[in-house]
Amino acid sequence: MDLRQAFEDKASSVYLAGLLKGMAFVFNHDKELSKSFFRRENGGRVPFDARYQFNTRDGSVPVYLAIEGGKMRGGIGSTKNPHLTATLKDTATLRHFFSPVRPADPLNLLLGNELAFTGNLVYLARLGHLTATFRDRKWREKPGVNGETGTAAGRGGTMLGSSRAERKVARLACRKTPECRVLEEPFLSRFSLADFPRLSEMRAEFFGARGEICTERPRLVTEYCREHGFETAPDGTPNDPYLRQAGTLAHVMANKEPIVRDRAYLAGTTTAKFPGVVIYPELSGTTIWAELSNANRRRLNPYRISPADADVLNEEVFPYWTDRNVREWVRARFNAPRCQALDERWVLYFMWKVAAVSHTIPDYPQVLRRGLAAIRQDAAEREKTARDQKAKNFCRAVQLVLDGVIAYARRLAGRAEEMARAAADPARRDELLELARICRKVPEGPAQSLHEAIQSVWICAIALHMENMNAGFSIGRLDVWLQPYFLMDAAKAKTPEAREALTCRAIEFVGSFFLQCNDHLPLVPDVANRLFGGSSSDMALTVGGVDAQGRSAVCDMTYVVLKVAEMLTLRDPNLNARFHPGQNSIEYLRRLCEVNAITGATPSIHNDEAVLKSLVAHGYALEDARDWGATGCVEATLCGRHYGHTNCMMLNTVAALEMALHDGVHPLIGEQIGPRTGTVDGFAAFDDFFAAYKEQLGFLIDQSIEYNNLLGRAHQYVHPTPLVSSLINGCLEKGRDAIDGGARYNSSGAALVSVADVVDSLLAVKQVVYDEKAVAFADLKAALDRDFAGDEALQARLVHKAAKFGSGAPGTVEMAQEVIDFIHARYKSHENYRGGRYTSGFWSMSNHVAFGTLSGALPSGRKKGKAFTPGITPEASASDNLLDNIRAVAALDPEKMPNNIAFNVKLSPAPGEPHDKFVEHATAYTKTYFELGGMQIQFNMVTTEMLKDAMEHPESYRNLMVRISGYNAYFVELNREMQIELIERAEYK
Amino acid sequence: MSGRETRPLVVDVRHNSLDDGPGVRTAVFFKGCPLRCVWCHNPEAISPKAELAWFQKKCLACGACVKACRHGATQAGCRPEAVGRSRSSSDSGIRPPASSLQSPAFFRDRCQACFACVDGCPSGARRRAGRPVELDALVAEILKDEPFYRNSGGGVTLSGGEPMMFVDFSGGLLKALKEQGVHTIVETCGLFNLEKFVNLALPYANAVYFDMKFFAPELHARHTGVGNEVILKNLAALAAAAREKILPRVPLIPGLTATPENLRAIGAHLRSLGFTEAKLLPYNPLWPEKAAAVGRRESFRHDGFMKREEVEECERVFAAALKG
Repeated sequence: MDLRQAFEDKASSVYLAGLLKGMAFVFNHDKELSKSFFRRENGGRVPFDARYQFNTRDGSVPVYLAIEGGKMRGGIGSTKNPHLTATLKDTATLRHFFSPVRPADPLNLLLGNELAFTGNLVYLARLGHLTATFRDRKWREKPGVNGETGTAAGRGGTMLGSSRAERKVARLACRKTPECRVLEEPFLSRFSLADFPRLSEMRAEFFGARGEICTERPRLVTEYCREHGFETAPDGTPNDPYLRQAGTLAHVMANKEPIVRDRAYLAGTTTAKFPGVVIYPELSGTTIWAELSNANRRRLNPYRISPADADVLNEEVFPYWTDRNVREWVRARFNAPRCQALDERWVLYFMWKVAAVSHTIPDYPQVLRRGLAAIRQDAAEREKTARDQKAKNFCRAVQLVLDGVIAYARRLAGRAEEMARAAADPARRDELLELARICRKVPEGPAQSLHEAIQSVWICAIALHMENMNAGFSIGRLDVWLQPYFLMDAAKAKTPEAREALTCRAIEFVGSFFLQCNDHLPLVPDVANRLFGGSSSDMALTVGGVDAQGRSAVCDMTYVVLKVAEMLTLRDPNLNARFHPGQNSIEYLRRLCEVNAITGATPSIHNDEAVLKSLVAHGYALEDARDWGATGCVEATLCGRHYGHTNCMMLNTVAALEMALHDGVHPLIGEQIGPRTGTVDGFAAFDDFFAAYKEQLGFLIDQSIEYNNLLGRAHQYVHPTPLVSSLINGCLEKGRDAIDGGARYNSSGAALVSVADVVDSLLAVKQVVYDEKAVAFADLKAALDRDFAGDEALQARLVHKAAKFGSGAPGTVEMAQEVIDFIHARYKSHENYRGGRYTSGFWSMSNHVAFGTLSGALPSGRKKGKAFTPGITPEASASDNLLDNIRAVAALDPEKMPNNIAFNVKLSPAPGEPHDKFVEHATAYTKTYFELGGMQIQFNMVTTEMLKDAMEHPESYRNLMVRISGYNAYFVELNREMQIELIERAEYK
Repeated sequence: MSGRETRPLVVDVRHNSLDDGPGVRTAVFFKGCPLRCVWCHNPEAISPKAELAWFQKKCLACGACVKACRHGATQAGCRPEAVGRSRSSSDSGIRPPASSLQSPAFFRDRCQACFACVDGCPSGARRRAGRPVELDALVAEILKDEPFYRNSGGGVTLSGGEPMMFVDFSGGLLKALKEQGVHTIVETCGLFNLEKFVNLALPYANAVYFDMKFFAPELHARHTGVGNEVILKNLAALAAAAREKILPRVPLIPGLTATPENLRAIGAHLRSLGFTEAKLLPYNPLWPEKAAAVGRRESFRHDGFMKREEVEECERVFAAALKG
């Protein structure tokens, strides 16, 4: 054994033994500190017990830490029955972990594979909270230090006011199109945000506010489950999951504070804070445990949290859910399966299912047309004829939750009336009374005006987010669904002045809805800032496309929604536009491009024809497929009849490539992960290597699907969702929750990340190693292992001379198609836990950056740790000709990509280029891309100079919006790696 | 120009060009030009012969070109400034190793333009300027972009160099494209055989962008190497025959063409020929690196783009003269 190593281990032992004993001494003698390690139960406080075992990979320094009965013990050696056993990379990492000065974030160590664990992951977050409390002890007495780093306005800063603002002045106008029944000038170019001071104020308020963790929901959920039991009722009988969840949601809706915000046109809020971070402890809410005392101070997306709220979560909420969440339910029930352990190495695949299903679109048209009371009546009827007890319980559960929603609406009405009585301004008083009238009417009954319709949707959206995590829960085809109510109002508007007032009101209602959709934020632990930095709740909203008969569905409200999106430039709702060539007008496409030019990043544009092709190929009836809406990022859900968890997982396709290069070992993890497919010197031909890659990729796909199915079963027990189920066709008929396969259509959708990097790497190996024989495969692998240090010429050859996907070179699209075909066939061959099929899509949220950070050098010439390309976007160096990129992506077969794609294009206006010309060019690219068969395209219409300037002067770019891969984000909220990735994307002028 | 013209070379077929006419265009840059403008911003297109372009900034000093060269034109080098430059930066962020490798020395007079070094160069520092093209293959390459032309109102622009130096070929190209319904533009310095132009090119071009550099013949001769008598004669003839197709353009070169006298003279002349439209092209300073790559010495230098006010002043003077 290395002498130095031995010495270091010895020194570490002595150091750590002293440190742990010191920690225990302080803990046991500092009342404040030991008080933090309690949980509340039956009205009293009892100590929270936790036992930790720490080892190093080589087993040199075992260390334990146990907190039992309010006392801490720690030292060298082991403890019995640890809740969590962590294996750290080496003794240095272990010392870092326990550093009293700057302890490492355990979740960050976990992400970088410097820490692996067995046992309950929640205990790691719990420990993180303890070490943070230790560290912050000395600050406790000084108010202000532990508080916010800035005022609420500190998040604000200046709104973007440079060249893009100037472009807004030159808005395009358009003559009336046959699609519009009311609007004389569909582009509504006469309006700007200045014409809507209330919207403008609401918007400024949003950009000036910092998110605050709201404990209302988790407190109410925990309160109900404590009283009524989770697994069993107080009398010991097992609880029915449907009824337990229905009771929980009804309890939340009955006790949630009814809030009518001052300027808002719609009553109700998602949380009791603004904007409120929603916590779902039964899903992944406990991940914030480690940050309860310091979420205020983190650099990216800091959250406010009051000490009282932190205590509620620390003592009351999180201890109750430590074992009662979907991840830990799988671990306990299925004895820590391998597929779960692989997920928890973070670099192979990432399972959204651990946090949420959510990704779906409810049947809002039915709510608007019939009202919730009618659906409740359906459930009552069905209950009488239910085929089994489970179906009976489901029908019962639906009635309970719908009553809960209606009760909440009435309480909102009551609050509005109270406020009206106190209102000094008569106009405001009338407005509040009108809101009260509306909330007594909808969503219980049918809507009969635009205001009623939007209010109805908003109350349902609030309730649905009390049930389902705010992660990709989508809105659907708002333009099409609101149009009948707009026309009802229009029928009463006889004069041009009345119609103008009507148009303004429509903009105000939709604008208020957009802004109110931003009243909540998803919970993002700091470590996840690296994974999905800047992501919102991703409430996708879809406009345009065709109706069930295939005729254009673009309408007046389409243009109202687009106008709102243009004026407000918000990341959420995540706007997606369907363009159906041949059915939708070219003016509509031009308008979509213009809104992109003005906002810089929205909407993303879909080729309806290609998307429909992919959906019909997957087996959906054409009339149903025509009613698709984007979900979360870009993925298609058939509105109101389809539970398609379109983002159940994100899989790193490069991981399989690294495994194929290392005989099944993943280099970052350093362990045999996949099958042994041979070392690189043994691949006689390229096809042998390709076969090895497919075997590794197939292994990862199979494992991730196995885990998804287990997590699905966990959701079925821990978290059925009767409310969303009541709004998805099929569930009531079958008497089953959507999570149990109640929906008419069932599927699970995966996002495949870094496929362009894989294809480029395969092409490079084929060309440079096998065709040109310029380098032996073993030498190439050695160069990759060294991250090209000393092999710069080889790296340059790979970057500049190897043909890439998107270059237009022969064979490149074919290689991409072969990889995509393999992925598609593999996913489709599996059935999910609800009896549906898996679908594959090619978009990446921001995981192309996160997975890239964790991955090594690649045969494509990409260096270690560098971001992958977003979605299915070709590498920037593939070609300096955008048309090559467009042709390559358009050539891919939509039928093999039913979970859609994200193709990012950064377009920048040339200096002095007029707005109309720029929009014309963007329209031409998009139209041609669609003619060639492309499915989806999304733009960033900002200059690299502006992004660089925003990195240096974030205070001047508070609302600079960019599109990542499928969703929008505010540039200044992104982590540094993602900012650089955006800057390095190929820019076309 | 008489007899059979030499087979032309092309330095670049630039797709998705938004700077060479309306819409999305494909610009074909022919190699070879009868003028020697001191500010030429496509210096790699002056000589009609194929030549090596060496972008030293991209050089990794890996020695591949030294091994590849069979004519002693590229040798292991020792020029300290070349080494220093090659180490400082490269486009892809790839740094040469810290070993003692040196940037090669290149002796252009010995280069046989065999381009063996280009094939060996991993970084793209060595490139071939000028490749022969077959008409059919070129048309096929261009027509790949046809859907983009259709949706944007774009097309093809012949540029260079001087495309009309090869009017047999470029006229054939224009004709083939016209038959496919593709919109075409010719960019020319105006020095060409009028009869051939009118017979072979003009009927198939939707527009001709005709450059006017100096009105005074002596200035023209001094800064472009050639007098402008033929150019003026050609312009006058085209103004009479097909004025609606002709767009005169003046490149603004600070201190040379961008003088009030010159702009006034050109404006007045164009007015006398009946033109009411003409375009000024603000100076493009992005050529010296390209000139260095093909070993051309600069006798003129002006760094940076023109200021907006300078361009506006030129436009004002020129418009006044053109409108009379």
